[in-house]
Amino acid sequence: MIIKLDNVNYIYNQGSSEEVKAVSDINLEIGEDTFICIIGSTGSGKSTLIQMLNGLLVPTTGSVTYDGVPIYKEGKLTKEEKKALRNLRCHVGLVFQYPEYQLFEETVLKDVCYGPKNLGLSEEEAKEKAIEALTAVGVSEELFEKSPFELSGGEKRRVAIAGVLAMEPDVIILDEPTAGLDPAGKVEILDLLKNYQQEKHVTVTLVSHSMEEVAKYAKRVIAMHKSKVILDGTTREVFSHRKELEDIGLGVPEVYEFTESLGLEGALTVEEACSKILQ
Amino acid sequence: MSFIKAEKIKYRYPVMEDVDAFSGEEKEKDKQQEEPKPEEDAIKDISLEIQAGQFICILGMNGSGKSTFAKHLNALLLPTEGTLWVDGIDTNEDEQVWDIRKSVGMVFQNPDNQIIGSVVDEDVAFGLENLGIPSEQIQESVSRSLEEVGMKDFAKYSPNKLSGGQKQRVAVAGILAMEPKCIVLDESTAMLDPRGRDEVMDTVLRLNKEKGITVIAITHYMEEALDADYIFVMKKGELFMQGTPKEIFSQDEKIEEAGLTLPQLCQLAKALREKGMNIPKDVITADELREAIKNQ
Amino acid sequence: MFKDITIGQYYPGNSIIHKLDPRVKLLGVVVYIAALFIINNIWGFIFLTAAMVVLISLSQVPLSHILKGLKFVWFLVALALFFNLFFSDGNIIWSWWIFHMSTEGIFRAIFFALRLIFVIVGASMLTYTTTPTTLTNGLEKVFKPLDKIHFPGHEIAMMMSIALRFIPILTEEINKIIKAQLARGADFDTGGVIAKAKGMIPILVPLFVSAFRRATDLATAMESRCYHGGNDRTKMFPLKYEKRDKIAYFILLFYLLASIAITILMNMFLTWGTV
Repeated sequence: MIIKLDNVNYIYNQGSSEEVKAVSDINLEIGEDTFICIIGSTGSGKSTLIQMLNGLLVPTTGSVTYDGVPIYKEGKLTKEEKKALRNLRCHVGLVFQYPEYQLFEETVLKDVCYGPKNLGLSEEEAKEKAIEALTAVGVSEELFEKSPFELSGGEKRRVAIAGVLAMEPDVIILDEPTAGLDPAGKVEILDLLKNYQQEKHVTVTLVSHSMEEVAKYAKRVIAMHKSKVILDGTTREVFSHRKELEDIGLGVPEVYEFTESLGLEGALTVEEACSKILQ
Repeated sequence: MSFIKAEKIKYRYPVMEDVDAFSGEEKEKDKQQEEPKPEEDAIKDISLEIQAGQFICILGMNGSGKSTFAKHLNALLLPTEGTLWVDGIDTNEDEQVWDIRKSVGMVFQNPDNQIIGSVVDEDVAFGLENLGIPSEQIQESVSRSLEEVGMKDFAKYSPNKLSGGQKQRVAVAGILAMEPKCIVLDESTAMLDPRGRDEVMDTVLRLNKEKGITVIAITHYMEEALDADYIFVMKKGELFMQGTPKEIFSQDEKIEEAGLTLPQLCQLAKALREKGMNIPKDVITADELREAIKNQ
Repeated sequence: MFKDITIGQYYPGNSIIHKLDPRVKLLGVVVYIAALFIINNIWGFIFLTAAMVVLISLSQVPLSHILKGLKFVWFLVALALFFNLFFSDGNIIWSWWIFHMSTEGIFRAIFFALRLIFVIVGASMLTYTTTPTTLTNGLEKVFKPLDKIHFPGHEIAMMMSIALRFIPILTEEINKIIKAQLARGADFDTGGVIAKAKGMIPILVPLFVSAFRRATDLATAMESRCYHGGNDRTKMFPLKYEKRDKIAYFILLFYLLASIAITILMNMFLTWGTV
């Protein structure tokens, strides 16, 4: 599935004196089977952008389509139309920052069932999807019947992610999924997302502030600055604009900078740097 | 005597699991399902010393007991066993608890949940008001502290209008106003973006250099620890490693055992070493690594 | 959904009203509300409106901001209007089924609606022009004499100020939670009352959990900054009466007397328009 954004603009508080242009003139296609990272400093428009990708925010102007089908309809909608739109938007799963704050059910399993049930699946089907998603994020069976509030921070985070994966979205967007976790927890989440992406051939898109993470996991990088997309390309292409990235307060990974300082081509990962230096 | 001295301190959280928080009745369900947990100490037999004026980092996984230990440093928690001296005062001595809290300030993780005042300067004044300091003196200290953290222009702002990094700097100012000897950062940068993180770390490290305030930072960011004078690594409630950054980051296996990762350049140094390059184990900065590579 | 709730939120400014001592303003609200219920004729309301207009223009809080704050009150006003309008006895001029309208009812409805709006506008003028902390200081001072009978004045004041500080944070939090659940396909629009009420659980549970966590964090932070209740506390800006506050007290007294005078005098001459 391809999400296409055409000349999308989003303005907060339109018409008032506090008008803020959060996103301007965005043309973007997302949806090829790959791992994407969106980077940009706070206030660059990233979170507005990702909320438009699944219809939580409706662009002020411009259109958003999935495989050519618009995800908004003008005018008064019937119940069925509303439902159809809602289900359509669920092809794009959005995991917010600190998603564990959305857990509410009595047990882990029930909580993960919430999404699939909203899609209209039966109890049995929902359970099946939930178990599958929980397994994919490495939550073991003995936790299924526990209260989500009893889990550790990292476990909660994974359960919350499973809550979205269980809806089997074609595109999964995560806003800083590793925020606040310890180093081991971070690696765990990123590795499972990477594996999930490769097994299911879906698109995983994540917002990250860590250039090291981005360089290690992303195949494609979208950089935002002051409400615009300023760079969009393969990870290597984007990081080759080191100067621009530094100007907008982002920079490049430490190893990249280091290998460049040795007069070599910038390396994205430790392994790459290692082999470049050995040559 | 060193500024902080811990002697075999243990802490065990009071057990409340089987009691319903609202009714006080025991939950039957839990009793049936869960096996009784072996009661475990959140921190176990920690003995350490911290010298005044240093920049200390405490590292460890979630649940390793770092935060529990940090809360002992200003007597928010008292050791179940063992003794902790802060600036020569035993934290168990009730009468001196305000002296301890005045000399050791804490900045917590969530910027929103530690600002009490609805206006920046009012929040900075909170601690001094609690200590019963005369008004003129409070006003003076507040404006001086705000200046020191670079937030003077925001004195009359609502905290809700500030960025995460700015909010944490306000929290630092609130502590600074009490003229502390030590600032404890309990994962204070975990919820901030890179810019906010730099703002906060630059501020406290400047205070450390210029005013000689001891800084104890509990963090998940290994890069922050590279500049530390001394590092403590905790694991499962125990003090697992201690030493200078060079000593700590040269023990890559132990670091991994503690559930941590090496800073990226240390990872590179390690990878090169494994590929047969002769790189000394204590290389941690870019310059040192570059030198080592050029010497091949 | 819960965006821009402006009611009760401090509106920064430097006007004379902002600068008044909170104790003056607290008494002002009491006098104002008392006057509101003393007044029972149209001239009284004109006087009151004039006083309000002067107050608002002195405070420099934009009218649009005040009206925005009333957004959630219109429903109450409509409800009150409806009941007073169609269920009041008296000189009946129209009736249908259980509904009937009377001239008294019409006046009562208008006065009731006006009173409701005026109470809210008046009370929110206090919070628009007074920072929660100043308000707290004022309340604490006002309640101070009650310490002897163990009235927890300081505690109440502190609780209020914390509540006001966390209102914007929690509204933001509600918005976040709603969005997160919408992203999981939640449907808050369709279904009957029970389905809708059930649909609130995924919002309310996380909200409570988060509020408790914040409360715990805040308590720890306060404790670590040497908070130990109201005893021996000092203030950065202790309350001190200025000349303007004394003048304000006189104006308040005049205002109260004027309201009483207008009510009595006009009731003697007017035969209509009273309740």
